[in-house]
Amino acid sequence: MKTHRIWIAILLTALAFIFLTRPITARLIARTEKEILTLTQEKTERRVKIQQWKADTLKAEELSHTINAHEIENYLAPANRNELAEKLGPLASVALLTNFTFSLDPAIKLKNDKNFPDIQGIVQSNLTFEANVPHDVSLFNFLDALSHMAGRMDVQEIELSRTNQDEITANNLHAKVSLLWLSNCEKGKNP
Amino acid sequence: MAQKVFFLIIGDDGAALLPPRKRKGAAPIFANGHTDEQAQDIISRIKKTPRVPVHILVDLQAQQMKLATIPPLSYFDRKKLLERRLQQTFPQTLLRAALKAPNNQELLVALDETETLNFWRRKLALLSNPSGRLSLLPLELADLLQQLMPETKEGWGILLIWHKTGGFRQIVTHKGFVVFTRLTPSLPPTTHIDFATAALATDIQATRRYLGRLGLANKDPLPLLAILPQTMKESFQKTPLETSKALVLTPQEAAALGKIHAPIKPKEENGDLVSLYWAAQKERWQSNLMTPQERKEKTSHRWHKGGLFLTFLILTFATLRLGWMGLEIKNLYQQKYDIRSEIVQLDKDFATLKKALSPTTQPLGRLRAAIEKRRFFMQTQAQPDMLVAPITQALQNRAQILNLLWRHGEFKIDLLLLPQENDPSLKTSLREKISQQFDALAQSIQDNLPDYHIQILSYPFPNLPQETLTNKTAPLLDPIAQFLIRKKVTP
Repeated sequence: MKTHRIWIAILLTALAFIFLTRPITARLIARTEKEILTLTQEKTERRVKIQQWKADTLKAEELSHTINAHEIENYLAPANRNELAEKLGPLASVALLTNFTFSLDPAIKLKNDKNFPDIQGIVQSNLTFEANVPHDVSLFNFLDALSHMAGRMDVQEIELSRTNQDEITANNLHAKVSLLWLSNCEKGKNP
Repeated sequence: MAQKVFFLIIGDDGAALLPPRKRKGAAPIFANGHTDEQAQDIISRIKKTPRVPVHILVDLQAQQMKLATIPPLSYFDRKKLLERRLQQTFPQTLLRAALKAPNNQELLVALDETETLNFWRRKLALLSNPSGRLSLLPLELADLLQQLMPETKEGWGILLIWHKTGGFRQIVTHKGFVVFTRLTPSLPPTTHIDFATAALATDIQATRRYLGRLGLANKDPLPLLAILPQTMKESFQKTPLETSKALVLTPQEAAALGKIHAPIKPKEENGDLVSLYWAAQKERWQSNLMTPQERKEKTSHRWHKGGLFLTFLILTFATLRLGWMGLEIKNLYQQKYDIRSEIVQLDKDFATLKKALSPTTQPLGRLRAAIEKRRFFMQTQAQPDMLVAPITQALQNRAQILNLLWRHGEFKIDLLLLPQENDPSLKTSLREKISQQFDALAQSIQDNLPDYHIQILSYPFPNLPQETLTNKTAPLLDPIAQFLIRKKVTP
């Protein structure tokens, strides 16, 4: 029996090695394969990202010919309600409007516009004003001046009437105007 | 034919050794007795080649054989039963074996541990040569009889062979299997040949009679093969024998007929060389007699050898498996490393690309947002001032806008007819005429605004189909009519 001990010990050791290392190596292999899979996915994502970035860059290059940096700044610049309010009076004076009063309603988030479903960060405010105008042209000049302000001014309603119904003269017109001011959201004041 | 082991015949009168040979036959060595001096040559020769085993063929008198019927049993049960039968049949003998015979029979054989046998076994044990097989000569020569007399394969047969080492050995086979053996010691050299052949004939007759106990009927043929020296051949052929056929061959003739590759001379007298060479060229011996202790040791040795072989196989497998796993893991790690390197390279390429292209453009998202907002802010809406100019142009100082109401794209205007040079008193004009003038204005506006629908909502007097016309006197009003201007709806 003594002579058998050595080979039995070696045999058992070899068998134990075979059977014990199997789960360990299997786990190691499975873990490494999982890592490889994750890395492969990561590599694919990187490639897609780079390709997307290249495509975006080319598109941006193409689009950059249609709009300049100044325009980009202007169209993306946040609105300034106070600035608008401050400018209205002087503009009315320039357009020869007298007794000019206005009201700028609170900004509310633009409801879905079917023509611009993806547009973001647009708010709308109702702007109403009344004034005596010497002539209808003065009023339209004023409205034209407003259209050059930041954002978009949609005229909703204009009521131009005589202040004195019996007297048909110049400077006898009263205007009541309602506009919808569509603009970017004010910085840090998302409604 | 090459031979890698020693073959040793041990008989009662001496021993003969056939050394290993490569191609040419090696000369056999004889010992005429069983003393140290007589065995010296053989032992010295064996000692010269210490790693070669020695196979022993025993031709001693002290060997026993018995046929036993064994019922059909499983392998292990059969083995146990045979052990018991051997113990019961040969209780005093340790060297014994059971050989499978036809008809569910076993040939139980035993070899007594005589002084002669022990002498040689002791001598060989002192050498470092590995122990070889130990078998009985009759068992190993049975198939020589079949080779030389094929008819004995199906029936009875008897082989008579004279060994210098042992004497005249009779081997009786039935259907190719040994059933009986008898040894007649050698006669003194001075014995007359006729006397010797007569003595052998008597022995054969006695054997024939004994075989009746083992089932040989009187009418059954019993062919005889005798391997005898040339000097005895003629005399033996003349001797009447109780055999059906008698074939007498000299050792040289037997070797030639049996295709035994042995350098036997024509004058060779004894069959020792025939037996040695025949046993040497056999692929497998019939038996291997061992004591229980030797059997145990041999089994243990086999286990050890098998175990070592198995261990070697398992170790080889384990090593290969380790290598394979290592290779697989290495490949996986290499793959992982390669992918990581590729990712790093991609990141580097991306950084380089970004560095190269970034300053020339703004981010696409910002550009798209700006363009979308430009489109949104620049979207043209129907504005009243776009309509006022065409309307004013259409009026041509024939009328003046008094009131104007723009609401949701609809234009409502109050128009006052202005007195014309050829007809300054509008208030006194006929209703029909005033009506015609407003209609003319409407037409002029329509001409200037083809995409708009022009409708007169009211005249300065009842003039519309839904208004009531009367001849009652009514105060004269300013010639003011209300117009509605709205965009035509395209279907």
